[in-house]
Amino acid sequence: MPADDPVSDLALAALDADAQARELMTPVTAARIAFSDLYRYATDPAFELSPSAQALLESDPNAAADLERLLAARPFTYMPRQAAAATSGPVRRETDAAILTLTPSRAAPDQTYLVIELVDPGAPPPAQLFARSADGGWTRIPLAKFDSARVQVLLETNGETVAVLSDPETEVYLL
Amino acid sequence: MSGAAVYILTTEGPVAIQRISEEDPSINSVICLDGLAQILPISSAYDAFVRRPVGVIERMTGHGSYRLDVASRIDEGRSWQLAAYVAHAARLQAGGGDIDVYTTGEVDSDLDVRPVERVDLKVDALARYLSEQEAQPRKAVVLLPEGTEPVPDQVGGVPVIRVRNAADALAASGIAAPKPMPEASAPPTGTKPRRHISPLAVLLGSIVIAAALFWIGSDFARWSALTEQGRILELEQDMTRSEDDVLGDWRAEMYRKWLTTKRPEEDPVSIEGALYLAADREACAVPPAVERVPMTPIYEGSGAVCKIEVRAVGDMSRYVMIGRLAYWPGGLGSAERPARVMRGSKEPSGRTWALDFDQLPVPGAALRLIVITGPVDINGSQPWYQDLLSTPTEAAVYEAARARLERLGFRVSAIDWHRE
Repeated sequence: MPADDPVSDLALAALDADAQARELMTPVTAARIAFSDLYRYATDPAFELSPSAQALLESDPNAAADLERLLAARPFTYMPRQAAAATSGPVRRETDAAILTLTPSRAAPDQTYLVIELVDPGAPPPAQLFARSADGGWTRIPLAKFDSARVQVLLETNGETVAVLSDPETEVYLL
Repeated sequence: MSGAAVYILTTEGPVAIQRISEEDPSINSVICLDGLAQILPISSAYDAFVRRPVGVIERMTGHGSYRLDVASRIDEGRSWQLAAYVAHAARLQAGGGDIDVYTTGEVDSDLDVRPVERVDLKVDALARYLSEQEAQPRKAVVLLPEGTEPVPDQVGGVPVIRVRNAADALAASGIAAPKPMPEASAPPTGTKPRRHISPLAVLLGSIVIAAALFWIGSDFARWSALTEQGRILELEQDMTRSEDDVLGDWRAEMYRKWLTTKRPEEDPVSIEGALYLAADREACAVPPAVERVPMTPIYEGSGAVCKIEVRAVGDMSRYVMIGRLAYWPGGLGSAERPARVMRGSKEPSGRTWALDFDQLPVPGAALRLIVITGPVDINGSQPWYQDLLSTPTEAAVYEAARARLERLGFRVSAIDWHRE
């Protein structure tokens, strides 16, 4: 469902109103991310969470669980944790739908290529990658337009994203 | 890189090509912004400009993947091609003269330069840029495609030269034309002063030269690299092009013979499947109600086929096993494409395909499993799967696809199943 679909917007507004009503009727309340924001975060690569919402996502297990449910509902593909034997060597994950690799740049060793290749060239390509690290934290990478069922993203070799994707304990969703 | 600094003319002003570096061949060539981890949208066009068979840069340099950094964003068009070509040629030179080259133009596969649009605006932007420079410390030249609209003979004191092809552009820039990468080794030509050489020495020398041509020929090096990288379709296309001449045909045939020595001598040790059957669709969701039975080529029962699992076992210490499982709900090849295609899961002893059904197999439904074993994993496009997964094994197109892979060093096995 497109993020700017009026019916979708109406439904999300209703969910937010319901959540607010429940909060008003509950004696002890804690700040939570609006479901509509989480939904847009999961479905719209251009949508950014506010810094406070981002902090909540990192600290609130319920918000993280909500996001996981949204992502798991219909991912393009899901790459589970890898076996321990996969901890050495180049990073490569493979499913029936896609292959993900990390390749250090020869030209700029401080940068690393994330390459995603789709098995079915005719499949509608994913637009985002979500990675959940072993500690439960989420990382999102918007993907550029696929060309011939392939996309390349340059990442900082010593950055958090490469560290997360290199960890066999990380789970990856493409959607 | 030589002392040449190359600039791409744009309507916003000249954009410097800052650096060209080789990348890992498994990476598509990219254009990045100013050394940052930011890939510009024109990168896919640059990759096509670089990589064989269409690209011209790999033909010039023998390498198929580069990173090119530019000082400002370039978001569309192909008018950067002439500048990129000149910059790659300059990179091949050690030393060289100091010169600033400002240029725009497309380069086709024959290395002819084609006109581009908005040259007048690009020249105006260059004039503004040059007027802002305090001095013109180096020799400079503006290169424009021949046939563009009238432009001045000089811009800001820099001469304008019209070029018809890439060779014109390099000559005008004082950059030596690169030696073309040999497509096929030519026999020695020319005459030398005669010396008395024994027939045995001539024979031995000929053998040594032939061996050298054989082993260090650039085709062999390139094919070997493509093989190691699993770029099998590109390998096949490259060898096919070489077959256009007699020597190339001989070398391609020799390389194919070498590839066949790498091919597994036998099919996988075993390919076995299992059906998971239940009384009806609802029972498929109740594990105790599901029975696992060995898979035979035809299922004639009346129960629901909840799941099919196929396992191929082989000598994984020597070979790589890959493959595809295709599900045809209406029968083999009954639609434009299968309803599902699976790569399977890699295991220490082989590969397993496990297929759950959203749409349970009805009479007529079919599965085709193709198992390919060979020396390397295959990367990139694999067009042979279309025929291998959709046609009867006795069909000519299937046999052609199988033979095609076997000539490239792979062994193909097929398993069929259908519901009667």
